[in-house]
Amino acid sequence: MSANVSLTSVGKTFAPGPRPVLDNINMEIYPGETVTVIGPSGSGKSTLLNCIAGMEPYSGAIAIDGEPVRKPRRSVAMVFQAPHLLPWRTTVGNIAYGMELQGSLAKDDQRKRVEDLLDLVKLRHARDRYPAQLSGGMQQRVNIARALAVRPSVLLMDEPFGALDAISKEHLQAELQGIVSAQRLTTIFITHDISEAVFLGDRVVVLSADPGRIAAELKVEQPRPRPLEWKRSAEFQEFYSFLWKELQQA
Amino acid sequence: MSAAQEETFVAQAGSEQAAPVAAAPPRQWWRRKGVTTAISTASVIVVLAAWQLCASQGVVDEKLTSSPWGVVQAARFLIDNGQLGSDVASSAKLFGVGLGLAIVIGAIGGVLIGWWRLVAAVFEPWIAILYSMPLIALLPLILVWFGISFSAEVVMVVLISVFPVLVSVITGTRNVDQQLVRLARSFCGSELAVIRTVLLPSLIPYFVSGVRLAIGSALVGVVVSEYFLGNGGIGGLIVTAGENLQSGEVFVGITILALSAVVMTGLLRRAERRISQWRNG
Repeated sequence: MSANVSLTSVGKTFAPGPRPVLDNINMEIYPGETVTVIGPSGSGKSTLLNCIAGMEPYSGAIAIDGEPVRKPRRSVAMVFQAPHLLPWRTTVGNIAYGMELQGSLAKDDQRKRVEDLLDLVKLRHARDRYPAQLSGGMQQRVNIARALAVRPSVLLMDEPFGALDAISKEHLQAELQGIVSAQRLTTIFITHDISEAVFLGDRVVVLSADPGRIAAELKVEQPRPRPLEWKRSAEFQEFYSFLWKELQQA
Repeated sequence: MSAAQEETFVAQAGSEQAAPVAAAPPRQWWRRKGVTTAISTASVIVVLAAWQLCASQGVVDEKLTSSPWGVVQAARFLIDNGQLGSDVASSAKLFGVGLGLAIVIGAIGGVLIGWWRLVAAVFEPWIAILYSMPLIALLPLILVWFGISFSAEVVMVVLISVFPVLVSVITGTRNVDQQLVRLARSFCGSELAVIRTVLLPSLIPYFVSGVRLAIGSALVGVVVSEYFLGNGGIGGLIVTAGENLQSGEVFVGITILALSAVVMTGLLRRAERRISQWRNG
């Protein structure tokens, strides 16, 4: 099986400093796989994601479906940490926004897809509300639905649940996992939360800080979707403490 | 409240800590909306009545100050002989054409200058110079270049009212939420699509406040250019009436200017509130 996303000695240095933010990152991500990337702040997690999204220049090579990445691609959708919804659009309008920009779909098909997504992210009751009338968790659901709407082959997520309370966060983790598994989406998920990384990832990549390098990799052999109870299992704890130790050294 | 009283007050408040949070104190009677409106109305009526009284009692010379009733009579006279209608029409035409051009130029120019640094580098020094100088000083030049004509008047109105729109739209464009711009780009949005879907909607409040200022400036432009470039319209009416010591007619012109400014800004505010319903959540 050929990789969906492949990174070969990717590096990144911001102009004034001599030290690279990212250094010699090599990764292969296969179709349908979820890779979570965890690391201390300053390890360049978000920068890495921006490079993969084609929104920042880098050295080395990044390829998606065999094609080099130099600018944003239609087959890739990004979910940012903050929901970044257009405040003057309702839930429906915001979910359709990505499709509209890509412009590859007739209006009727767009509308149909939005209706499906409203059910998927459980926002049918809030379809005509403006972002100011939605809770943080609901806003993040809209954000995710907007990304899913363009039917990406690769989903990039930059700490999407970082700002949510613990309960909304767990709910959304479980829902996201269901969706990603059902659609066999290739997902790269950035987080600083160890348990989130273990729960969602087929593989967890640990980045070290300054410069950002791959410090460790952990395969989480547990079929998806995983129930939330799995978080309470001994096996989960083992993964957790392994990563915790790695992060102490990173 | 003395210091001792204040102390007991604080102590009491402290002792009541266990009680649930007190409801908001009742609003003072004079803060209710109906009351403030009534006071504002009364304020206007009192001033008008005092004016009328002073004029009819001979405290002031009615020839110079006119009086509310005198203004009404002057208005009636001007309406009956048809002068007011044609003056208002000619001023409205100048105002409409001038402000319309100013809005179009200001909005398009503002987006171009705010969005592209290079365009800004070219035009910004000129905006800085023109926006901070008294543009009325250019009037003699306009007179020389365009003569006493409608186009000269329009140039004056545009010149005076374009900058509030332009500067406001530039500011709004620079303040656009960069995160939303990034988001749009991440979905492969073209430059034009980003401008249309992110920039333009977020510009509305800036645009409206620019237009609101421009309405006032355009009225100044209309009156000034009518004073000096042809003596037509409401401005002309005011100048001529002043020269003939018809203070009643002067006030008719002033009242029309004041009313139209108030009505237009009011309508604009209402329109903006309707457009930006999403803001209130």
